[in-house]
Amino acid sequence: MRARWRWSSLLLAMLLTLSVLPLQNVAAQPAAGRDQVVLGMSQEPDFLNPMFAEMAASVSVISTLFTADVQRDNTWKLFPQGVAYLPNLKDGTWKLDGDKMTLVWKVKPRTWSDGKAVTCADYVFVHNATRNEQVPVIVRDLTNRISNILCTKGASGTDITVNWKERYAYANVNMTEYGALPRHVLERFYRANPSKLNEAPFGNDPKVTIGDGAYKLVEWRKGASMTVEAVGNHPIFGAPKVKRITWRFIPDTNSLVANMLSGALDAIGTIGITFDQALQLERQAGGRFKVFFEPGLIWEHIDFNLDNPVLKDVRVRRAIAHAINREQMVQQLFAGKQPVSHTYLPPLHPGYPKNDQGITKYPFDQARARALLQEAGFTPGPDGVLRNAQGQRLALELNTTAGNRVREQVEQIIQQQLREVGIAITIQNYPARVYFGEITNRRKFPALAMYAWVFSPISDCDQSYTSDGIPNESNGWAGQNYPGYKNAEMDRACKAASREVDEAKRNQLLTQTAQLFSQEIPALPLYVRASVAAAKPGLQGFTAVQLSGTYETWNVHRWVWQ
Amino acid sequence: MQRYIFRRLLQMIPIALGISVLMFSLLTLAPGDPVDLLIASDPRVKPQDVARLKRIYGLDQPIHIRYVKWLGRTVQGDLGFSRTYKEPVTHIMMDRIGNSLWLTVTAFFLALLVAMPVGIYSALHQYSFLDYFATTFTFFGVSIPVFWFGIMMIYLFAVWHPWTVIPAASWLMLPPGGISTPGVTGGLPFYLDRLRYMLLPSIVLALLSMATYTRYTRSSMLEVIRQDYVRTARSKGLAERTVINRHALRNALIPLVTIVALSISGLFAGAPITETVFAWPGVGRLLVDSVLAGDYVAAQAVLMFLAVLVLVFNLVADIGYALLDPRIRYD
Repeated sequence: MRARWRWSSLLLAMLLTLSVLPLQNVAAQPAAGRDQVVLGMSQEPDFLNPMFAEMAASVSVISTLFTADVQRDNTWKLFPQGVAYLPNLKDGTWKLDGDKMTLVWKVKPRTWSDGKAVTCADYVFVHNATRNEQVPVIVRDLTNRISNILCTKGASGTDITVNWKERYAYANVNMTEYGALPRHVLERFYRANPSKLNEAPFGNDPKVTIGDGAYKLVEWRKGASMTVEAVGNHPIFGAPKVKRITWRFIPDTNSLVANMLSGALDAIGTIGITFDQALQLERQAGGRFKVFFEPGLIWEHIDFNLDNPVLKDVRVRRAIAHAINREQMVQQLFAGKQPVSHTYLPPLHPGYPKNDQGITKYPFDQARARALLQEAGFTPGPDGVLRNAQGQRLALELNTTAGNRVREQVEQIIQQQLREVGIAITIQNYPARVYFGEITNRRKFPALAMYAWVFSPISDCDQSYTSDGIPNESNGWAGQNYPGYKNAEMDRACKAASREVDEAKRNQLLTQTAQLFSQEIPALPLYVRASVAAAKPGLQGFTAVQLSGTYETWNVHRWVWQ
Repeated sequence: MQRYIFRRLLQMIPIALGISVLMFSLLTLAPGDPVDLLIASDPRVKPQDVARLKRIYGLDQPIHIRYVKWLGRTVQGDLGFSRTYKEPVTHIMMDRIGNSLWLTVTAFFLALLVAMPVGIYSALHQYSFLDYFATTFTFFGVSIPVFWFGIMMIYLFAVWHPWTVIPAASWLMLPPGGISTPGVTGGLPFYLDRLRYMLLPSIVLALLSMATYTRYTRSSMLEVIRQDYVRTARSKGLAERTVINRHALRNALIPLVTIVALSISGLFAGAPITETVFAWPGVGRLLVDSVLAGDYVAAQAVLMFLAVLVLVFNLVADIGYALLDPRIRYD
């Protein structure tokens, strides 16, 4: 009996020792071999036809299958990828003619993955299909601004001239709305029924989906995974070291983390874990993963409804800004990795003023907040809440999306801190569908609305903070100026910036708008969200990028295991 | 009996129509039309684009016209085209039902295989150690939230467990989620691979029904073994095994069969939470994802399919009841 007990104790001790040993060796190895990468994603792409793809997950995969004409790197810098150069005013490849413009492009020679050449006809086909009212593409912003596309050396050539109906500041960022797609594959579906072009197997079935990128789609198990394989020696991207990339779709972000910890994933891109989980993963990493926190373009803020007589007064808005300790909030909630913002443009935007020059900041200062409120005519009432001359309480409603834990925490901090200066806040949250479908876009929030805008490097303030962008019944609730901000100077600068083709002048105009915004604060800037990602340390070249069109896969052909 | 079945089948038609009206109205009248929301999410989308898309998708028509058109198509077997998955809903559902059945049927049999013997033993040995153990286990089974148990199982069997430090034994590690290893197709390797992926979600899913079935079997068996006819059987001098198997068990199984028959429709419905935690592409996840993405075409198809299944299996349960219990007769 004693001998058996000894053996079982030994076995138990061995199991316990093994179970507490770190799993570094197993979990840090590539999940599926040194020429493969397995990525985790919480979303599944809806479609891989760029004309109809709506989800960020699709864009992330599409950049491996198709060559973008113009691309941005992880520092937000534009570079020509599928074209020989970026048209510019100096060498005459970008010509202005009154209000109209012409841009001359040269496409780099390359083929579709079935061996047929990419030609001007492919660009013209996609542009014409997009113009067709029956085709269910969602965005036709650039298409409506372009008058025509000409193949200057024939349909099979690669020289393309794009004529624009109007001046557009960002005309050299995309040649056309959706670039080139294989006409020889798509045209028969288009001719058969243009309104069902989005039901064609192109973009869905790996046998039919061909691209001109470094990889081709080889397998898509709906709801589970997707695999792309390198096409070989690509004329633009060369021969990628990573031959196969597999995305595994794991909707539950806790499971996504567990998959990363188990070593089943090599990396999780920016469409994956939440900020909190990234912080937790960083603590648990123990050298097994590198967790990336990169400045992003998602701007969290609170819109002031400027139809509200109390909030119309800029002193009240400034008092609210002074009364909230935003610096402490980002330190406590985000370990300082999502910095406080001071204006509508994110600091990495080219229009953001250098060294915050001219930006009005509102540091935490309750005394200043009280003084501003007193100046605006508010005096303390018997319950500690301020009252105006008519005896009305300074009580405001704060709305946001229900169930968003971070926003709900921020709401509570704001409620408590504003109470300290005599402002009573009532919280009323709505499900996202109701909030964005009925409340914000129809300006039904009575006072304060917290949410985020997703910016891109070409975002400006036209329609967001110009008076013609205030949604109302007569304009069909179009425009994103939800605060209802009206300022002639802002209107002039925003409109000029959106039409200014000279980048330096445009950035100057945007700087002015950012400065003016910080003085007037039609919305209270809170913080800029960071893009988070994680990868095994051996995977070189991977970093967190989320730029509405550019994701971490922008340089996938350069990834390599070390 | 035939007349009864025919009458019930006829009754199903107005019930199914009522459900379809209710479901269609609820989904359609929910705030935030999916096309309207595009304006809010992408400033490049103009009101003209929204009007154009609504025209293309028929969303500019009044709700009753849309319902009649949808019903006409559905009756002909055309469930529509999913805007999220960019595929005919029929294709998506066939795939997803297949995946869900792999999981739910395994979990179902796993649950029955454990629950029935445990429930019977527990009843026959009331207040024994195993009875207390089984009762405690069922208590945990019905109380533990599935999402938490799922994550714990992933941590225990895929992230943290002793085998992971021995590379040669790493094949013992269970996959933390997904349905199969990408690239593995056809034949025995495919089924073995699928089996490894199925193990954790099946156990998690089985736990809840295991607990429920154990409780039903135990209480039903306890009730039956105190009946006069069981005492009579014993007094006739029959062997204890015969008394239990032929006289007690058969009668004790009647309520369990009803529960089991009613849960068969649930097998097709998948298990939204387990499927989400284990990234299993089943019907449950399809329904949740479609509703969240505002893909009402897919959501309507899944909901209608599940409603019809519930109606059909309710009828099956009633018929099964009559077959098992001679006291029940339908006219």
